[in-house]
Amino acid sequence: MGAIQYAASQLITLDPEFKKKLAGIDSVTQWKVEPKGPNSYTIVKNQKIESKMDAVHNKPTYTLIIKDLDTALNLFQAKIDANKAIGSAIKVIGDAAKAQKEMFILEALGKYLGDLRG
Amino acid sequence: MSVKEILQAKVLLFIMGKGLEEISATNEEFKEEFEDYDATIQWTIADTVKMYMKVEGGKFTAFMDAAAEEPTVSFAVEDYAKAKEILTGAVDGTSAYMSGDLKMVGDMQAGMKMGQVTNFLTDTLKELMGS
Repeated sequence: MGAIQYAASQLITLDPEFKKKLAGIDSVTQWKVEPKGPNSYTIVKNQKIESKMDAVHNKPTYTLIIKDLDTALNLFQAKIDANKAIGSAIKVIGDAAKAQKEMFILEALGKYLGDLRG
Repeated sequence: MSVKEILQAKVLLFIMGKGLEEISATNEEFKEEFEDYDATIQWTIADTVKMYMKVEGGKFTAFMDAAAEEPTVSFAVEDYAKAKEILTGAVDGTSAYMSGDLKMVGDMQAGMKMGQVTNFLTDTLKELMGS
């Protein structure tokens, strides 16, 4: 997950369109991969993305609970449609509408990193 | 290099750097095997994407998007596709060096050791990913 979050922060500097889409977003996403983690959170604010690994935020905008590590890896490689997975492979606690709206971040990363493992 | 290639190169170096930080801190077999390893190792892909690692007593610390002032050994790959093959373990580092795709400058011994280290990491990651 650290690699994905690093990629998101780097994509801002590489893709102006991606950066543009982040305008106005102010949210904290808590990630939880079941059953044993990893857990981390991502802050999107002022068109910047910052992440903290192995950490739990005390007031996330929403929490995404991913059912297992395989699903998380597939999600980050765009092998699973993030929006369609909400409610099944991904549970949302908190502002679900905002979570759905911000799934474009994962989709953008999937577009760039989808074939990383060949 | 396209945006996709640059991002993938950055992520692959991140996985190597952070993976070695983690493994060198937690894996007892790794600690034992590389406890005498001290070096500063620079990686550069297509002159654009850079990362270096400082190794002290086998413990790795990675510095993303940075160049070391005085690296012990430097690795460089000009072609992104080749870098991807090397960093994902699809092509063995020694073969890449022999074919000239992977350039190594500096302390040969420290460089060879890095080969052993990356093999260890690749095997561990493959085990974790189940492939």
